[in-house]
This record gives sequence, C-alpha cells and structure tokens, in this order.
Amino acid sequence: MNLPGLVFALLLPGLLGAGAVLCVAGWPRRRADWAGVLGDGTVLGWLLLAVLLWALPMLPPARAFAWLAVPLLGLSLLLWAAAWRRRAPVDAPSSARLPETDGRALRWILLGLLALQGLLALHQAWTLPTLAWDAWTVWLYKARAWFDAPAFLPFVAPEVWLDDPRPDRIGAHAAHYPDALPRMLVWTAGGAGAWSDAAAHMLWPLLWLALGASLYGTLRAVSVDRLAALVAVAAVLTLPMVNAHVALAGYADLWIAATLASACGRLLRARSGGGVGQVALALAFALLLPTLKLEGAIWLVLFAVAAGLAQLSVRRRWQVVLGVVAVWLVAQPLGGLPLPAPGVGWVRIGWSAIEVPGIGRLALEWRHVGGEILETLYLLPNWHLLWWVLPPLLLWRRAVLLRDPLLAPLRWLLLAGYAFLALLFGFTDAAQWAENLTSVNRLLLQIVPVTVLFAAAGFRPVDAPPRAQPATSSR
Amino acid sequence: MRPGPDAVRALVALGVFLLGAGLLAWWAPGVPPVPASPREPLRLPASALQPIGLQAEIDGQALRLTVPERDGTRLLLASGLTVTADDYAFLHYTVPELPPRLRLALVWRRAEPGARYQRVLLPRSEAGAEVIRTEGLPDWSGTLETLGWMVLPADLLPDDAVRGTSLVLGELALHPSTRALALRAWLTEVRAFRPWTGRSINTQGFGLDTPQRHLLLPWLAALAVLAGGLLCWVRRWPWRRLALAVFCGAVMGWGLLQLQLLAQMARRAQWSEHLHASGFQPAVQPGLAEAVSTLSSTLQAAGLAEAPLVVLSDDPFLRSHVPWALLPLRAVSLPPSQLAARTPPRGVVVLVHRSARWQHGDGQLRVGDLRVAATPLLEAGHWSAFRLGDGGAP
Repeated sequence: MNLPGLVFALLLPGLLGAGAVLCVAGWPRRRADWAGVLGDGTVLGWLLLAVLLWALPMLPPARAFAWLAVPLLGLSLLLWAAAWRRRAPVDAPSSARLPETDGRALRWILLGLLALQGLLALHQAWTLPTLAWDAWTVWLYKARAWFDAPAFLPFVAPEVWLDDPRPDRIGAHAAHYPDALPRMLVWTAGGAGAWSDAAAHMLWPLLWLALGASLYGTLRAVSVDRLAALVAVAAVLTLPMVNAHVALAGYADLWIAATLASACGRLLRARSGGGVGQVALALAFALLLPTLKLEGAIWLVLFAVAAGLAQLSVRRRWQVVLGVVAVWLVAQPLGGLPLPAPGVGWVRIGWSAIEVPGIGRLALEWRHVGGEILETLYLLPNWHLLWWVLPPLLLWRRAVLLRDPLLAPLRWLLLAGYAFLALLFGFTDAAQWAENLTSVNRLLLQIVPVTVLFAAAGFRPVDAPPRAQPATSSR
Repeated sequence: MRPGPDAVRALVALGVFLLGAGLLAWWAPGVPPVPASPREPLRLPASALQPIGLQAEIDGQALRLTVPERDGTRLLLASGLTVTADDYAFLHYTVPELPPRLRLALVWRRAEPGARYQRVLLPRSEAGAEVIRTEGLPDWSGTLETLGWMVLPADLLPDDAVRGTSLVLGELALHPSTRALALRAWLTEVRAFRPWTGRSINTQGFGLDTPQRHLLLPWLAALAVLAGGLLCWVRRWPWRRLALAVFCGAVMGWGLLQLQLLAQMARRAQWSEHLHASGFQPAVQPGLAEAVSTLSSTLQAAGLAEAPLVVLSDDPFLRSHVPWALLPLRAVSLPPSQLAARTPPRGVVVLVHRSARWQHGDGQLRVGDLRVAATPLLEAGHWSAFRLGDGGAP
C-alpha cells in the first residue's frame, strides 16, 4: 500500500473544500473560525470531489486519483491564494471579544479523552475487516466493483443484469442508491495504489474529526463560550453510536449527519450577519445531501422548509402551515399530496399511506414501539446520557432556545425532523426497524449533531454583539 | 485541629452521595431477586469434569486445557447430574487464565429425551471470577443433567487461529439467589467485554448472547441529580443554580461512561489485532477463500474469466456477502427460486453452497425449484460451480 499516496488522497479534498469555503465565505478573523473552515471544508471537498467524478463517468476509476490529483492540488492552491488576496486589511475592526469561562484543565482533559478515543477508533477502522452489512453489500461493494472496472459503469439490479450480463454495467444490490460515497472510496483506493479495506475505512475517522471541527467552529461563530463549545463537541464525538460508525467504517449515516450539521452551521452564520457567501455554502451542503443517501432528500426538503419558515413572520408562518394542511386535506380525494423529493421522485402523502418511489407504499397506522424506542434511548448504551440530559437542558435554556431569532431555522428543522422520525417509526412498517433495533438509531444519528448544536447554542449570550462581516476587501 | 464547616459539609455530602450510590446500586441490577430457600451452592471444579476435544492436565486446584491441532467441538462436561434449575439463580465461575484468542460458554442440557444442548457466552473475566444471572436463560428450567464449559475461538476468529492455545479453568458454582450476587452479576454485566458484531452498527449492548439489560444509565442519571443537589448544598449555591449543578453531575456521569467505552475500545483493539494478524476475513464461509481462488484460476484457464457469475443461496447472509468476497470477479446473488423464474443466457456460471442441497444428474442442475441444464466446472470445499447451458466442460 502506498501510504504517502493514501494520506495525500485523504487530505487533498479537504484542502480543496477549505479553499472553496475561504473563497465563498471569506478569510477567518479568529482562530476559532479556522475550525469551521477545515471541518466544513473537509465535508464540502469530498462531496465536490464525488460530483466531479460523477461528471467524468468515462474516467478509469483506478486512475482517477493519478489523473486528477495534480490539477485539484493546483485548483486548491489557487482558491487559497484568491481567498488570501481578498482578505480584509489588518486594520479592519474585529468583533468584540466576549468574556470566556476559563476551565483550561477541563478543556485539556476533554481533548485528551477525545484524542484517545480517536486513536482507538482509527486503529479499529484500520485493523478490522469490513464488518457491517450495508458496507459490504452497497457502499464499499460499489466502490470496489468500480475500482476494477474500465469506467464508472452504471449499476443495475441483479435480476436485470442477469437477463443481459453485458460488461458495460454491473449487477449490485441497492443499485438505485446514490453513489457519492462509493466515488469517494474509489478516490481513496486510488491514492493507496490498490483496493484496500483499511484504506477505504480511513475516510470515517477523517469525517469524525471534520464533524467535531465543524461543530466547534459553528458554536464559536455564534458566540458560544469556548468551554461550552468544546463540551458540546465532546458530547457528539463521544457518543457510542458515533464511535461505532467510525470504527466499523462503511456506512453513510455519519456523512448525512456531518453534511446536515455543516448546512445548519452555515445557515446560522448567515443569519448572524455572515453574508451571501454563508447562504451559498448552506445551500450547497443541503443540495448535496441527496447524493449520499436516499434519506438525504428528506433532510434537504426539511431543511429548505425550516429555512423558509424561519424567514417568515410568526403570522405568515402559521398561514403557511395551515395552508399546507388545508391543501393536504383537499388532496386526499385525489390520492394524496404529492411532494418532490430530489433524487427520489414524487412522494405522495395520503391519509392512510405514504408512497415513496423506490421503497413502495407505507401504510399509516399506529405501531406500538414506544417501549423499544425508550429502551434504545434510555437504557441501552447507544447515546451515553444524551437523552437524559437533553430534555432538562432544553428546559433550562428555553428562554434562548425558543426565542432567539438566530436559532429559528434549527427549531423548525428539529421539530420537522423529529416529527418525521416519529411518523416513520410510529405509524409505518418501518416500526419493525425499531422493534428489532436496526435503523432507528442510525436515523437518529443523522440529526443528533444538529440537536446538540441547537442545545449548545442555547448557551450563547443573548446580547452577543453581531459578528463583523467576513474578512474580504475590495482589492 | 477541628475541621471547618465547609469541610464538614463536604464530608457529609460525600457520605450521603456514597450511601445514595450504594442504595441505588441495590436497585440498578433490575428487579431484586426473590431469595430462595436456604440451599448450599453446587460446586463443580474443573478437575472433576470430563474434557472432550481438549488436552487436560491438573494445575493445582484448577485444570489446564490445551486446544489440539485439529477442528472439533471442545467441551468440559459433568454428566449424570440431577440439578433443579429453579433452585439456582446465579452462576459463579473462576477462570484463572484465558488468552484473548479464546472465549468461554456455559453449556447445559435438561434431563429429558430429545433435549438439546444450550449454551450462553460467558463474559470475559479480568478479575479471574465472575457472576452471571442464570434465571431467564433459555431452557434453564426443570432438571438439568449436564453442565459444563465450551471453549470457542474469540468472536470472528477462525478455528485454526487458536490451535495450541492453553487456558486454565477453575470452578463452576451454582448459587441460590441473593442480593449480593445480584449486585456482582450487575457489575459483571457492566464490565463485560462486548466485541463488535454485525449488529453493532445499528445498536450497542450486544456482543454476548444475552443483551445488556441492566440499569446503568438510570443509575448514573439519578446519581447526577443527587450529586447536583449535594454540590449546591456544599457550595451554598442558590437553588436556582441547581440545574447547573445537576448538569455538572451529568457531565461526571458521562465521563464515567466514556471511561467504560474507552476500556471497551482498548479491549476491542486487542481483539482486532488478532483478527488482523490472522489475516482473517470474518463471516467468510469455511472454504470460500479457497473456492474463490480455485474458481478464479479455473475460469481464467478455461477462458471464462469474464463469464457472468451467479451465487445461488436461500441464505440472505451468503447472498449478500459472497459477491463481495468474490470481487473483482463480477457476481450477483439470487435465491434459486428467482433464477428458476428467469431464462439466464448460456455461459452463466452458477456457484452453489452445499447448504442449498443441490443435485446434478443427466446434465441437469436441480436446486429447489430450479431445473436447468448445466455442466459441472469444479468443486472447492463447500462450494460447487456449474456452467449453465449444454456447453462443453473447460
């Protein structure tokens, strides 16, 4: 295995993404802002890389890294240089400094524990073979099949392939799943010089770091205390479910979680005076969600709805909500309300069923899964004390969380998100995933970082001065 | 020198906290066991049990066992017993020496015609002795006539990775239910090493045959509230700061859970090193690696390297995993009934596991409802390959 090549392959997309963030959002004014640049930049860079590889289907996958690494490195350096040139002069006013809690010893303890956990998870990801089901069936399977193919050939269902086993297509389970993640893995394997499970797994420890950096940067950007921000980051990164998805690399749920958190973080920055660049980044992250998993389309729609509702006045908001309910009622005799889900198709929401392309008809009726869900949240070691702490924490900081206009999009997103999960597990056949403790935790994982972000943002001072505009100059 | 009032408060708070933690721990293992009528424990020293598939030698009070250089079931059993299962709610076992490559299970069988052996994986013991709760185990009822140990490779390790390994077993002892043993069983379950399984990506708390069901999280949450209240009292905070104090308590509880997680991760790191060192691809069925290698070279020699490959099996696990193991050979997997409903083109190579109970005769391959003309290509371990159609053999 070519270790230097692998390391370069792992870092280059982050360099590219960070350059894009710097160009769009401006040069950071504080050290803490660099965490957001690097964290969000890493996630963005990998997603953009996947889009690039999608746009080059005839490129031999095994050679993608060899052919594109140098041009992408050049592009990254150009972006960084452009952002550097556009940064504000040194005498530009900086944002007012807020009083900080000391807690230096606690910060170092937290960082030490995180470092230890990160190293252990990295070791696991490196030494363990691909253990998780969907990893070897879908995500890594597609990547590996591509790696040995002459081009990024289309995937078809096994029966379809068998009827006509042409060499210009590949039979695979879940052929209709989005393929951004397999494209990322092809890149990683290219850097390593050959397919290697260990090399492919390295993407997940990197994502873990990026998620932590992104959350920290967002919280500091909205003036949350340094110690509180670090505690929130540690709360997410130490969760056993997050840890499992890093050590048992190969699933896409953590990617959805990180992308959604980045989208929300950029939206919060935009609402605190961050400018059009932050909106563009939030939009980019949100639009890239469906490229990862089918659920990404749901989160994109919910994100767009939440962001839109947050822009409206309270009166307008209720008008919209009641209007949608009225339209839904009117649409019932016509077969239900059709809603577009990018990458999935038209989802039809009826009174007694929801029809989802690619999944089928989900009958709506109450399922008794409350006990299993309470068990998985409050008794099994999936989430540490998160669900014990969150309700009293939200109650404690309700003054900020319910009234701060900055947090409105997150309020609506979490309300809609948990309502969606409650509908899914409480009223559809997906309840069996809760009964047998399969997908319920993974779907929760997708929204947990945003939940913690919201809760931690409740510790921001309500009279925090607005952030200065991004550091760009008119040069 | 007399302690100041703050020191007294701190000491009192510490005492109350410890007392509260102890009382809550009494409740944390779950519903307290109903004490049975006085009964002596049933002790089975390892040296008194019969080894099967293991080489044994007495090692003081214990028994040193060595895994032989061959496959097979490895047991240490006491038979001909007459044990009333309901009289005993806890098992106390001592394991003076257990290498990381091995794990142990409790084995038992009821004294009924046709009764089958049952087993449950035992939590690894770092302290040399542990307690588990036996009430509630499947088939732990009626009269038991066989009890003992089973020696297994650690989770996902191949059998040949443990040949020649030695372990030392002490005593199996069945005890009637007491609160003290309930607490010890709870501590065992809290500290039990739970290796990664395929289920771990969805939920934690498994990795042993009995899923985690104790009340560690509620116990810590209750302690956080207690600690928060005591902290407020010791620091003389106004009660409106109680939320902050409880949050601090929760952070400490979270810290304890994190230390537990790190300890698990460290042990998993040791376990995964064994997997890595043995080069083992877990969940690969016995013989599949050889079958893949043989199949690949056979197909290449016959000019069939690009032939479409179909894995036939009713086992969802085989159907999902074998195409992955066969990469870079391109393969799909189907249940035989789905292939029977189609007309696959000639030249497709079918790979069948013996569990599919296939038959071949008169140029026809029969698997479940599937009847298709096929030519045998090769056999490798538990796998057989056929080429569909009347084409000549390679």
